[in-house]
Amino acid sequence: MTGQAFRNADGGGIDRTKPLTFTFDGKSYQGHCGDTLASALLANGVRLVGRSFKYHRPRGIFGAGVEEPNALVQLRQGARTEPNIPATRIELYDGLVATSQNRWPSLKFDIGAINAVLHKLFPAGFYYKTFMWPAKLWPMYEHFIRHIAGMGKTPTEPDPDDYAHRFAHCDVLVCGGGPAGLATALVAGRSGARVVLCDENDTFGGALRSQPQTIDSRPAMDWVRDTATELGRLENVTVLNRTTATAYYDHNMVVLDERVADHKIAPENHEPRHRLWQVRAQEVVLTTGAIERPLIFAGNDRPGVMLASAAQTYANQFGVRAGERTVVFTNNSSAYAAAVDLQAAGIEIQAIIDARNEPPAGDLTRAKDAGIGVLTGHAVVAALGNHAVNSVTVMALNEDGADVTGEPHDILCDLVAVSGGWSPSVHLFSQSRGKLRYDDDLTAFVPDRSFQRERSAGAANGSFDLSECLSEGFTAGAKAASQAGFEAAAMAAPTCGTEPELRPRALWAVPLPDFLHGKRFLDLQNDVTADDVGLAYREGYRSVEHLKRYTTLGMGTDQGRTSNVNGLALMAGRRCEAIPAVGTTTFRQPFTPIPMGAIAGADSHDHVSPTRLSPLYQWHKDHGAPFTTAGYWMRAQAYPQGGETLEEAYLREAKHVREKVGIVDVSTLGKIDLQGKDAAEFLNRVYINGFAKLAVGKCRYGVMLRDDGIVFDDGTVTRIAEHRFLITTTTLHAGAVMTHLEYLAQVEWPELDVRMISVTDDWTGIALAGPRARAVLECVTEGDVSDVALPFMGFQETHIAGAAARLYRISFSGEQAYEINMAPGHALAVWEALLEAGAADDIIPYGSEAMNILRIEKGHVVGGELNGRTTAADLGFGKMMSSQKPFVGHVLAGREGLNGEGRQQLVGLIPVNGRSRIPRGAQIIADTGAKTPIPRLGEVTSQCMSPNLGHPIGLGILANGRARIGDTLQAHSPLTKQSVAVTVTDPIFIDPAGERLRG
Amino acid sequence: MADTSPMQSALNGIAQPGDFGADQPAGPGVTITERQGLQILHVAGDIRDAEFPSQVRHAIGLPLPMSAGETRASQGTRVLWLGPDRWLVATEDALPALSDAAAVNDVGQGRLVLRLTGPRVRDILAKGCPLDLHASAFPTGHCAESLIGHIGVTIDCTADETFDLYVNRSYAAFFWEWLTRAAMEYGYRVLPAG
Amino acid sequence: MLEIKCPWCGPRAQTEFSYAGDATLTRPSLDTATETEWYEHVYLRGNPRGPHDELWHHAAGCRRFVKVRRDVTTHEIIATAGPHEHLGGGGK
Repeated sequence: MTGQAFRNADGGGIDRTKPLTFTFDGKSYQGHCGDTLASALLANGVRLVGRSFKYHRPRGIFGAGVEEPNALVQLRQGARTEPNIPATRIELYDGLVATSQNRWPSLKFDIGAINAVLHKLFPAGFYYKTFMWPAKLWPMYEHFIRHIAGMGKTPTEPDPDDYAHRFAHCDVLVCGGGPAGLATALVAGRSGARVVLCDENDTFGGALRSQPQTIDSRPAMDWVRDTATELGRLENVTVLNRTTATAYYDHNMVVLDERVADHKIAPENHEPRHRLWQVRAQEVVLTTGAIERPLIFAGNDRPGVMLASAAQTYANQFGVRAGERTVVFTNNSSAYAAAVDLQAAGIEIQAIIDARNEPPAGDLTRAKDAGIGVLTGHAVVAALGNHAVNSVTVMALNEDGADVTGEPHDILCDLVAVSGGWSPSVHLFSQSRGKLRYDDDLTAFVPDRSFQRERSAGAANGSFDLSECLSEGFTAGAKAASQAGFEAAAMAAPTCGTEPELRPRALWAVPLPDFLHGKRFLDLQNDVTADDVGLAYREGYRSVEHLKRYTTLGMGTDQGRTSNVNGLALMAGRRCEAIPAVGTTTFRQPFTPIPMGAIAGADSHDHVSPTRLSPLYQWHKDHGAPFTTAGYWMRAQAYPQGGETLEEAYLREAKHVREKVGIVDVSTLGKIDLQGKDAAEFLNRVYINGFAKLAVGKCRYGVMLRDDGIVFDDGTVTRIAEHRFLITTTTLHAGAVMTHLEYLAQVEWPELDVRMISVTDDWTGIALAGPRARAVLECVTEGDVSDVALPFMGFQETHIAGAAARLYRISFSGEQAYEINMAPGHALAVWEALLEAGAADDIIPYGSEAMNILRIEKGHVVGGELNGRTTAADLGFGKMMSSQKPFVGHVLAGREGLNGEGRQQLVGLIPVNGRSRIPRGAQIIADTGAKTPIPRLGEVTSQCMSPNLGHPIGLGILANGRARIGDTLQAHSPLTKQSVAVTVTDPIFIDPAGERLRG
Repeated sequence: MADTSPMQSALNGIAQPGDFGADQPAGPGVTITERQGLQILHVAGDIRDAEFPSQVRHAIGLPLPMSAGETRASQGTRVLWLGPDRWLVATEDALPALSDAAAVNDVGQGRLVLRLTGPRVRDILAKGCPLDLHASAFPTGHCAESLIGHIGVTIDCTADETFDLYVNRSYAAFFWEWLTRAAMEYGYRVLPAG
Repeated sequence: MLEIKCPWCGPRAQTEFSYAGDATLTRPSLDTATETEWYEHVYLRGNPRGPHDELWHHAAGCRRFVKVRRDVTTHEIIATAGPHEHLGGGGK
């Protein structure tokens, strides 16, 4: 245990009575409740926390919040480990374990640091240039690059935690809980509007938490607490802390990432780790604050160089001295307050180095009153030191800031607090398609024109003065609420202590004097230097989007929050253009990284996509059936007996059905109930064959085409009553057919009186098939099911095993067969009654595999044949196409290209040797020895072993197939390199006359 | 001839009565009961056809609700607006006989009906439903067809903090898993079906 | 995610809808239209920039088809109506 040598005895928002123990790189430390990992590390004097991405340079903590580019750590261990988490965003908890990243074997001695010595070999674009050739070796290069340029490690075990999604709707969404956001939420909340207020931190107040100010002569944090309390009491206001508004999408949909349990060692009492909110807001107010920019000079990446506001935050919010002796280097007025606060926290201020020649008098007075020396018109040209900064070199800037002059002098220090001005956090605004404007006075981009129903207020809007933040917030809240239909009035802003305007001097990178060498880092996370911008310019990558891709400026987990503006300003300088002319790169979602688990939410494991189960599912499972999917459905494949393999089981089942009898669950077929006076006319238009004359109590097979003349789906249609039909569809096309029919009925033929609903879930289907089918059926019904009463393609409404049922004499297997539909609650009873009644006839259940074999043996078409390229004529339905009536697709089905010579037609295939299985998905060719490219004649669409024929069979679509019956061709699979000689046959292998099904 | 065949719930072997999920001193966030034995009709028809609404009204004793999300209720019977030409009639009584003026389907067994009641019911549904479920937008007596956890569900707010959900039966097990997982953090109680 | 105002159900999330094609087309007559007319209907599409009329199917709601005038460059929805109703709002 090490003492917290850099922790002050008092001050800050931490609870010194609650010590917390944590480990970093295996060493144990103590912090306090209210700390972040970053503040606790600094309190313990830990300043070296990581190695940089490319050069493996030692890096420390640079910021205090979401902007942190450097201090990325591997958090937690085992299944819960997460890489690349900024230490500044980790709330300390007891037992926290973190390790540094991108170093080997240890942080202090890192072999990869040789890259820094060899830096001349690693300019921007190094990887692109070096590893281009030969392409074959790229996988090896990639492995090497990932190892040395890697960041943290992803977990290898499944995530044990739950993640939740949450939809929400509100009148006013306020993103950011600083002074402007609180003011907005207060006015909107008091109006009665439904308000959601979120803030990424554990507590509200934003910058006020670390920059002490006054509101109505009281500490500003008192106002923050009072306001947050009032908002918490309002029923119409949802207050979310630890919640980052991270993505702004169309129609005012904003995604919030709530870190429900990240501040704990593990989630408690079934709470999710994260909750991802999708908020649809009438009005959005962006009060996202601003982020301080760094100043760029040689060695500005050394541990100890820190944003001035961050050093101030550590002092004020955490009672931590980020160093003992500091130089404050600034180009604007905000760092003066920081310097005074650092001094008050016990840090010795060596000097304020102000790039401005004439800082406002107020700044100078403030420094003088505090006894702090100010060096105006000067700049830090270099920070020196190895694992930490130990001094800086300071020189005078010339008039235009393009060069440094005069004598360099060194100042000893272990902390360099830098402020290069402030950038409003316009990320969400920009994601919402708002247009930015470059503000010369602020040297920053600020929101200009909104695109969606959104407005910005406070620092996010470029207003940094507290009273301005509050009054903008009040106004924004009132406007947003009244736009959403509520009566609201802006309140008068309270009196606040005034802060000076920023008045920055543009200084995008401090010139490097000739006698110095060293890297001036723009993007600390990606090791992009100011010189890399010059290199990109020289090599022609001059647009900001090219600059980004070429140098990786602004990529990574921090998305260039502290580097983008400097980078594009330097490019503007190179191009001799104004900054607005160069523009910004696109601000992309998400603002901060979101764990994959939060994006997946509940849609993980078995819930990646929905599952549909038949009412008989449990029975199938209990009887040992393995399952396969058909769309969302789970279908029983077969029922292996004894030690049977799956294949043995389904071959047995398929044989048994043709010899005796079996039942199969066909609940997955789509069923549509069609009613109305014009139902028959509607079907006539939809199907290629006629339905007007179909008698009540009869079924008919039908085929429907798409508008382009290609076959869409097939199935049976049964006339239940004069104006009522039951349509069946294939399992996979059920949804598409329903939508197609609704489209035609609603949009194209509204004059027809038809209505339809899907009744797939309302009728469970059992097919009873085999020579003994009727004998079994007679045992479970009192109705007359004789061939006279119920002939092939007949229909009855009856009772089966005591359940009301629809009984169809239709056959997919080619055997004497019935399809029984009953309400799903009765399905199990009917199924079991059939098995019991059929025992004497040796009935068996059979699965989808045997069903498939039976249909291939009969040449029935399914998905492989209905592949979106075959016409009715191709599949042998040419004669079904009515010439008496028009139907959907009939005109384009008559196109020349879909008819005549060369069409691929449905055929049967039998291996010449009578043994070889026809390769699945094989191409049909004439000669495997031919010179490539070998002309492709067709393809195998279905194949199986036929237990009833005793040899393998297949279906295929083959160019001029019907004319090739009797030919020998090759079924060739380039994937498995199998070739099987096949004889082309008629596609109906068994009972072509259909005697069995009529028997 | 009446059905003599035994009935089976879609949640057979899936839903077990008891308390699950987070410990909540104030009681479970939601209580879930499967409503069995409900008769449900899907009714479609053209309201421009004068006969249709009056015949339906005569048969079920309630006028058809005509505006989006509207419901009509009497003791034991609810009529839900599903669309400009579709309604759901759910009743604990015998099924009403409806004339040919309407296209009617008995969908009672094709739906799993769950009654959810409790202080966190809206929070749980909002985990997977894109509708505005706030009490001001979805009050008692309001219904809608929408998605919950990617599944099409008919949602009926029957009383304060009480919702009936109608789920297509083939999705019952999948939806049950989604629902109970969503309810874990608030704690849930499953009552025997009734 | 877009929010589409169903003329019957009110504003609903895009996830309840499926895109269902170009609403500016007139379907050729089933009886009398020529192959050329059908060819143009099935295959030829404009790709206009700006407001465009499309059909969406409220698949997870009332199952009605809805005509939507959407600016395809900005996703702004200018107006919605039933499939046979006139879209108000006009272009931008």
